[in-house]
Amino acid sequence: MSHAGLPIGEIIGFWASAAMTLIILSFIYKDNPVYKFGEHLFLGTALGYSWCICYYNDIYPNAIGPLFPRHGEPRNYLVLIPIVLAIFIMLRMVPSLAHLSRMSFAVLIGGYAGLAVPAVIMANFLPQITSTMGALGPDWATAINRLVLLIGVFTTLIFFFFSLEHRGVVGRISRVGVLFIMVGFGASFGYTVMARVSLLIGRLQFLIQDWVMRAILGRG
Amino acid sequence: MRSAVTALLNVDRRIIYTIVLLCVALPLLFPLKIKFSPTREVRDAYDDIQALEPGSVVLISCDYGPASMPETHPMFIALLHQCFRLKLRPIILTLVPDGPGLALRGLRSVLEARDEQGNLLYPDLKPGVDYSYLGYKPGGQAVMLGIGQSFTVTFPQDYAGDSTSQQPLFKEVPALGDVAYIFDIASVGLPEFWLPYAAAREKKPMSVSCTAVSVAQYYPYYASRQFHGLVGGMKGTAEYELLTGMEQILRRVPDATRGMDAQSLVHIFIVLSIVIANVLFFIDRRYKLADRRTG
Amino acid sequence: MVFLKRQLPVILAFVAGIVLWAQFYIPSKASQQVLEVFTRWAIIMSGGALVLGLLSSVHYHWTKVALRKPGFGFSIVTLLTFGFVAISGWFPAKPVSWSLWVSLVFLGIAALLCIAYLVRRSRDPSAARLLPVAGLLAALGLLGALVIYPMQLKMFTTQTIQPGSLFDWIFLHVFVALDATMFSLLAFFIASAAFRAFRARTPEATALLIAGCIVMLGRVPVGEWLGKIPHTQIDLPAIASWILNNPNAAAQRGILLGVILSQVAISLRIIFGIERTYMGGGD
Repeated sequence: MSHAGLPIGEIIGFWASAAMTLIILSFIYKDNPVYKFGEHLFLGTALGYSWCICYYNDIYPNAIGPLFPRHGEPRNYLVLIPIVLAIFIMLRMVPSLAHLSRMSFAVLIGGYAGLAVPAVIMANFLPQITSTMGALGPDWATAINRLVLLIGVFTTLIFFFFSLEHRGVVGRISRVGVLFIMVGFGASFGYTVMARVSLLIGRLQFLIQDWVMRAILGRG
Repeated sequence: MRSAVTALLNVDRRIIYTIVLLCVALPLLFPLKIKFSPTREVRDAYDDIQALEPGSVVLISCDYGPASMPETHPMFIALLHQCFRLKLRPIILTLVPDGPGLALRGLRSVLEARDEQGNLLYPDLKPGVDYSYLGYKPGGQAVMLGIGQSFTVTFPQDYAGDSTSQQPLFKEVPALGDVAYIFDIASVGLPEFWLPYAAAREKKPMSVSCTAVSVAQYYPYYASRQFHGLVGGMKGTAEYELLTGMEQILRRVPDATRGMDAQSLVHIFIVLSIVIANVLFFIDRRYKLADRRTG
Repeated sequence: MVFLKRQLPVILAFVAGIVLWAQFYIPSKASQQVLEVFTRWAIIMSGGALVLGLLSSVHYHWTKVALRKPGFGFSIVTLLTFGFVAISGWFPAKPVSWSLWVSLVFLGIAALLCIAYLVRRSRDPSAARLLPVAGLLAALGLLGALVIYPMQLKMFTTQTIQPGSLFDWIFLHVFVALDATMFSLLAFFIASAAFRAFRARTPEATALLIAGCIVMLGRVPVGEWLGKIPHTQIDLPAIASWILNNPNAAAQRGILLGVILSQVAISLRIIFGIERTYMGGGD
């Protein structure tokens, strides 16, 4: 242990993290080989990390583990079917055998499509419609808000209805819809700025608090 | 005047980058401590958890990674402190591959939290009895449907490798239908899947904490009360930290709260730059129109 | 062959889709078992899809190195880092058993044979004989590392990320730093774009910018600090909240309803074989 009670591995780690951070931040000056090195280092790390997590959390316990069970647990040969289908997916890399992956994707995508139809209608579509068409409310403020919501939903849907030409009454309604959509996008934009800035704040918090204050100056 | 307008409109982007950097760094070094209060969306999520009976099981899905850590990780820590303080029993899992490491670190930091005297804040918590960390599984909807039928079949082992079927927690709460609440902390679009495949299917209340990028699109679900609470971005997380009293627990300013001053300054800078740029744009346009008229 | 390539996948998608759709409405034990089987299969197959993504990335960079394309040096960095991190995942914070050491020796020799092949192939055509030997050693090494070693650990999962392990160190101090910083660059670009590109040229653009500015100021502490509008109880956070809960919710709901309807339409097209893009290209 040294330097404000931090273990050596932690101090080296703070320096490594700071180096990685500054390597990537060098891009804001201009694209450079150091940034490219950091970018490819990130890619390799992400690939290795994903492999380990996927193997230890999914492939081994769900696929291989049931075939080589621990003492006292039953062996499950049925798991060979999804293992074969998973191998078919990986055979997409081999051009002569890539067609086998179609069977696996068909089962997966077809199954998810079948699950999605009743689920999204019952849980997403109907509640949203019910909420839009509800009573205007007990007081003027709630009534105005619900009216705004109703008009906004209706005009937005008219804007996205391209089977009718947007002229005359339909055109005017769809322009109101455009205004609502623009307000929605403006709100999204405002929040997007918040999100991006938050990430920068997080990184600078690390550089200032962990790297400079703790690892270099040995404080707190 | 005209040359000044043109020069300002074409200012080097690195000047803008430097101002942004200063707006973030300076408040971190010299905090402004601007006060704020919780919004209704965050308070609804907090109140829902507060209203749960001791011993209730809460499913927490940590669907975030390092890329959104500042917005979501402090929320997970604040939520865990609230759960353990109320003697709730969280079951924690993650559906994104870069989530398990962060979720484990967050859990450990809460389990190892100490008071001023150095005593553990939450002593005697046992995995498999008072909480469970299940780790990661790919498959998204398949995992949600799987835990709707059985936790132990979908996650035969918890993250430490212990068999879940032997754990008392899962004997009492075998499937999602037996939990009291679902809380999704997400940086990707998974709340929209948790709703139809888990919360609505099992008729469980649900709240969401998400990055600021996604929060605007989840307001329809909040308006229809499908999401009981909505904690959006770093500001939402800071509000949750305020409600849970994280400053007293950690004995320092919590991470998301500490970033609020920097957030305020950068936002002021961006709003001012939009206003100034548009004013300059209209002035420049008038010059160009005048040039065209004079030929 | 045509049946295997074209018709069988369509039939499988139809059967899987109809069975799982019908399952929703049939409250029987058999129906629940069907769902349970599908979810277990889907989790395993999703793992295979993830591995496909990894293999595809590795293959891309391997090809770049083998063909000496521009920037292949960076691809070497990617491949070496991938190998190092993947191997470090086998070293948890506990003592390591003999099976892992033996596997790593086999994998190391296989790697050396591959490098020897790459170096000698242009000068010596018989260097290709090294490849089957390398393949056999790699297969034995992988069998040991991926099957025998975890059995010896007496647990299937995740001693990988334990505080104190090399893998955990790499995750925290390399992966987290790189991932988080990569996205934090966007803060600079969005600020630059706000100044240089966002212009209120039309009424719609003006509405967008005004809503954006109100939300940006109303959803941070400075919005409250600016205080209430004179002679009212309304402040910027209240206006931002109204915008988000009413016009924004309305527009997002309209878009959401459209998305849900198209989701249902595409699901039906997949089940009935009209939509086949998930099968990929080729014959």
